[in-house]
Amino acid sequence: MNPLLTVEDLSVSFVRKGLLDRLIELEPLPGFNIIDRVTLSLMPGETLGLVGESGSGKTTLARSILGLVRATAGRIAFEGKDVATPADFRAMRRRSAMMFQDPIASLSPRLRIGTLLSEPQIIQGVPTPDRRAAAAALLSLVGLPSSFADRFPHELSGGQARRVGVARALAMKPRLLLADEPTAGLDVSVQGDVLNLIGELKRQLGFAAMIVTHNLAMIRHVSDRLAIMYLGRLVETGPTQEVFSAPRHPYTATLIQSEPLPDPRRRSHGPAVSGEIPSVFRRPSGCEFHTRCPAAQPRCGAEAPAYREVGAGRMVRCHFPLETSGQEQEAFSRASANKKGKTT
Amino acid sequence: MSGSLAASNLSVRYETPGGSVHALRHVDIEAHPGEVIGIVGESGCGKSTLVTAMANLLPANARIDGSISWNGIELAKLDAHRQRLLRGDEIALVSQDPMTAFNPVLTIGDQLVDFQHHRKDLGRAEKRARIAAMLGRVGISDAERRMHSYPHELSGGMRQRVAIAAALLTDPGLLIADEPTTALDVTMEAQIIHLLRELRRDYNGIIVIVSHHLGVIAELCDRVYVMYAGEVVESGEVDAIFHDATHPYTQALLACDPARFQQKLDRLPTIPGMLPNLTQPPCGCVYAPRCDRVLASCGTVAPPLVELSASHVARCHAVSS
Repeated sequence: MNPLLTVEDLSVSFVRKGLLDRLIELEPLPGFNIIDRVTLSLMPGETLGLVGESGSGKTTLARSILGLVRATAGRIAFEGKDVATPADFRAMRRRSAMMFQDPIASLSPRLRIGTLLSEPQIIQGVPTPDRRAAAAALLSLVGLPSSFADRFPHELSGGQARRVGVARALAMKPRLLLADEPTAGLDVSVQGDVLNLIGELKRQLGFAAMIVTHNLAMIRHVSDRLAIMYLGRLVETGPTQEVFSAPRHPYTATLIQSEPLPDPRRRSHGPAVSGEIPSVFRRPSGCEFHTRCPAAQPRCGAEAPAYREVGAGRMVRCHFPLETSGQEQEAFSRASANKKGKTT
Repeated sequence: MSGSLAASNLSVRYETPGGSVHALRHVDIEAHPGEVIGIVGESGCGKSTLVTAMANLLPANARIDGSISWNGIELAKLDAHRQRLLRGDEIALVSQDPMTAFNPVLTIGDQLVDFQHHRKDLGRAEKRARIAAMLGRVGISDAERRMHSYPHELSGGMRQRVAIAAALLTDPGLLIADEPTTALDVTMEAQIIHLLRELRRDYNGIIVIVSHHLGVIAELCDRVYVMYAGEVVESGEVDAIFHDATHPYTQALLACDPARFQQKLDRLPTIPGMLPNLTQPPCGCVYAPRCDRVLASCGTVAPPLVELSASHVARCHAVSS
């Protein structure tokens, strides 16, 4: 089977210019890679979880795949065809959809839900004889009564607004759905509802999904594969269950360990990682995680590790990937405990 | 200063043009020095109203019945001046997003000096020395330099540390942390949880942690109050709540948390139904319309407070002591 979406060495860089620099333009300024040579692929019907902390570039990556942010280098192919020109992106966006992070802010406050649900057809120039019926069909697809077509966005609850977001995304019957933090700000009982709905529609309509999130507990249950980002680079990819049971990159391991468990009998023994995410404007030398890594060696600060394959479908960007045996995992938690003792 | 916090039969309603909203109903809460209590619930459960009542910051349209007292002093009956003294001196609040709690045009150092305005015995230099020491204690390494920073120059985790330092500078007997980690990334969240846990070792006051995140509550609290639609439906020791939950809502809430399951689930558990309308709270149990163990009496009779053990109570018809 051919991948639905391929992204090769995609980079997005910004040049940071002050007012003076812009006026004088003496020499070209160095660009800062917000996204740095990201390579990934998505099979039809697959769900990929794109995980990272704020500032890791996960939203920018999702937006650049749809051409909403212009990539500075790299190649995107959708359904086997290269996507490069604005016209290509427009054609691609007809077959793919994005659910934006803030569902209420992404709906125009002056338009009724019914109008908002017809917008995709109007923008893409798809003739729809009965827009009201089409909107009602979309509403029933996401489990909302058709009377919602007459409501305004501010009359919706958080969960209902997400459902409208799902309906809007699916209006053009996309092959690919990009969902940016689809459950941020939702209560835990409503979060399950929205994810179950996306899962059910995925089975029914067969689209592939890329879910951008920082919520590990949630993504574990809804994705087939995971891609972990740190400072604009992928540091690890692999099947979700394997990544959770045996993370190979120390950053992935610290993310999993940092998640507080809802069990007072299994309290953590201190943070798995100290320090803060560095800024992309001051990207650390060598491996970008070496400043916080509990297992860092001298080599890590000097030489950037390659992104390489370490098993079937497992890629990792680390000189010293964690072994899968329990022994090494234990050594890692010990090292992280020692490092913490030193820094605090 | 240390003292005890107690709310008994506390009800708060907001008078709005659309009718009165019964945001809190007959809430009983008790906390003693050295304790960390957790208040957990989903949006609309009344946890913010409860916190605002504790800090005595309820808006003018709020009507309070019952009692909420700090150290035997009835909070609602104080005049505005005495309320303010109490807030600066004994009750401190750490909010969800400290960016909005700080003044954007003043440096951190200046603001932290102002936080100590009630300490008339200290000079400015002494206050700055206390700040440097306190910033060090909350894990900010270059405290002297940070005092010259503006709030926007700090990261979210750093701002939350400064907010905690600001609260502790007043030596509060009651420290209320309202969703202290919600705005943070998971690695920062773990660090703030660790910090709060370290601080309680040499802090004798009460810490109240308000969160919707069950993991944060489990990590930090000694006792937990579970709230739903303005009522405390169950309370008890943290272990009893997480391992021996009795109220159907607590059980459903715990079951919904995807962090509990190691294996992939095909469907995530949810709680069907919606919150009741709090302008007309139901006369029976508030959870009855969504409950899977509903009895005939649930719809009409308010459930009794059932004592399951010395510290574990649940408000439900379906449980028996």
